[in-house]
Amino acid sequence: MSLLLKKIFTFLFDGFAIWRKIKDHSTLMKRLRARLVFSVVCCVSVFTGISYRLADIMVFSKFRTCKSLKFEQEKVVRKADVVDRNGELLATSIATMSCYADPSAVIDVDDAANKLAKIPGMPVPEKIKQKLTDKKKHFVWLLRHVAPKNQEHVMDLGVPGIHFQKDYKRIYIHGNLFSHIVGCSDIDGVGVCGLEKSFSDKLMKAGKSQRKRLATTLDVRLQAILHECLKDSVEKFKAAGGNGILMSTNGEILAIVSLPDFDPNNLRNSEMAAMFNRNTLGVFEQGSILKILNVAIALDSGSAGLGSVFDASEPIRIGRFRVSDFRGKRRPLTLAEAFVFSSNIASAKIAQNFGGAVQRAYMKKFGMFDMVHLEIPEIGKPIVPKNWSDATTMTVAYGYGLAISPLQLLTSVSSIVNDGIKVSPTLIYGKKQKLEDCVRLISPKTSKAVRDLMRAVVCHGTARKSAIEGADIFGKTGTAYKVQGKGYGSEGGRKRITTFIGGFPKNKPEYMLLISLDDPKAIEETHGFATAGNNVAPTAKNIFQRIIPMLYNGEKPDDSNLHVLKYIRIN
Amino acid sequence: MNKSVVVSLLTLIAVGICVSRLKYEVVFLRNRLKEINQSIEKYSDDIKIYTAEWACLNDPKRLKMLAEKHLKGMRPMEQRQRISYKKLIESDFEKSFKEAFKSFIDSTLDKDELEPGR
Repeated sequence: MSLLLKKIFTFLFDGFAIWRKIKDHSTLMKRLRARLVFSVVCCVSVFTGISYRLADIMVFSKFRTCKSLKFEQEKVVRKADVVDRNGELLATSIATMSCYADPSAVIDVDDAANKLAKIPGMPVPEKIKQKLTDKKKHFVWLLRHVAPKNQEHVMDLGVPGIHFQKDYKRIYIHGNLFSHIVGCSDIDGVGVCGLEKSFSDKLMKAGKSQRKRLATTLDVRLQAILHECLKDSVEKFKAAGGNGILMSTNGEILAIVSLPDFDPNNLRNSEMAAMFNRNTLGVFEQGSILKILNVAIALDSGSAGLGSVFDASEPIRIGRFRVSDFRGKRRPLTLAEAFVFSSNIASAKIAQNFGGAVQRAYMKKFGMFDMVHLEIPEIGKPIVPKNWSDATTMTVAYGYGLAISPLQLLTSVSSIVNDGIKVSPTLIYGKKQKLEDCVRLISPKTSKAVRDLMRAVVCHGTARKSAIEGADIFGKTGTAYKVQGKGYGSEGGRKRITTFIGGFPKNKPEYMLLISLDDPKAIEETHGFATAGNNVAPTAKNIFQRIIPMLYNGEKPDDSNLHVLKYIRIN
Repeated sequence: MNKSVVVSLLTLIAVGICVSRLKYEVVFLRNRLKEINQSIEKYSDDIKIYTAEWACLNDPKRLKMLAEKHLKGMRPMEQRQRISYKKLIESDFEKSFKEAFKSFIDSTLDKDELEPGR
């Protein structure tokens, strides 16, 4: 460079000296002037070029790289924690390091790819080469959430253009315990399902503050008990799956389990079927549990009383179907007996008595035709018959012809036993119920009668195996055949869904429980039966036995005032 | 050069020095603030990890396993063993306590385990 400048200046000075000597020679002077102008233009061009390149390297290229990095860094955010009602962590984000490359700075792509591929978790060399080939890019992720040991190994390689950036990894503390409700996020922290999806944006915004977190109504202890008991039951009865919900009568969901479940920390190894939330998405016919609604309608509408008699001695026919009772009494039954002994024939006749219009009106009031509202996106839509015929009125009375989700069922039954005040389920702790939601669906008198009847079911009916000493549990069981193709399957190949719904304490219900098993098998212990009273009722007992001492410190039950018993002939 | 020019020049130099010192002080404090913020973030990240570890240690399944391992002969309390405070006051406290204690001993502990030297 200096040599060139020296030559240029020598040339210019020589030219100038010649010009002075022969200034009289105008032709030569013109030539010299032209040479001088040309030389100056060349110099200016060269220096302009050099200056531009210097500015580009020192200022603009740096600015370009920063811009691209900033763009990527904006994606990496810390999400706020999700906690249970006692502040126990359910989901949190922890700081990790992630490895990225600046392809424009990588000198030997093949060598870099081969070296990096040896680090555990890194992609195969071909994939790394593919990422590093595009030299226009300044940022490509190589590996997210690198373990500190592996980070050291990468740094020891000394490959130019490979860097690390702070990142956040979402951790689900209790694994699959809350998988369907808390949900999960993808590698960038964007919610995929459950609360993580519903509150994805809010959690990301709240994550900037250390103190903000999403408090749920769930309780880790109760969730663990429900999960353990339900899992044991699914294994014991070789069921295809199971689900359970424990809800407070103010609408707060304390525990909610759906089996099979998945580990949100390891989504790759999870089956798609396990991601199905049976409690909110599973819509099916609920069987005899709907008799609770049927009896409530009959009592509240005044069409029948507890002592009203309905003949259940002979099966009845609805079109091509025959309605009969499982281990029926084959005699006229009072309304109370029809409920306690779970008579399909009598229930159909009770519904016939109040009629389809009244039934539809009450069912609408109970929220049977609308999707239940909960703060997760996975909510099933009920399947309601288009034509509400007389046959529909009769079948709905004992739980067929209307498909609803377990959460929907629990919500409506909770409203009935909660002195008739509507219950709105929620997963958000401290959420205030809207005034318009606090509506009365049935009278307190009807509500009390239904609770007494449900208590009688636990003491003398199909849910006897759910009774525990020292607590006045009330409940009802239901066994429904699963739809297989166009029907319910042949006699030997029928599949069942067995359900128990109950609560405590009877006089002022505070907690409601729903347990359901999908296709439980008959075992020796149940003497070859696979009905709800033999599988879900004992499961409910196990759960009640463990949760009641934690939740309830009330008086021991006094069944002497169970007036409904005078309408029931036990034998 | 008159006095006012000299004074002005000296003032200018003094202001210059002050501004320069102030600037360096601001730069120093800004860097210090940045360092403090970074260390706060680091500590809060560490606290997050410890909180997550603590939550893992408190996992109900793990606690149950530990209870089964170390609290041999004990099992969760049942509802029938409980008595309400109201009932406790109404009844003879000593009698109720003895009954409750006897019920607890009968139902939860194997008598053999209470014998000394075993």
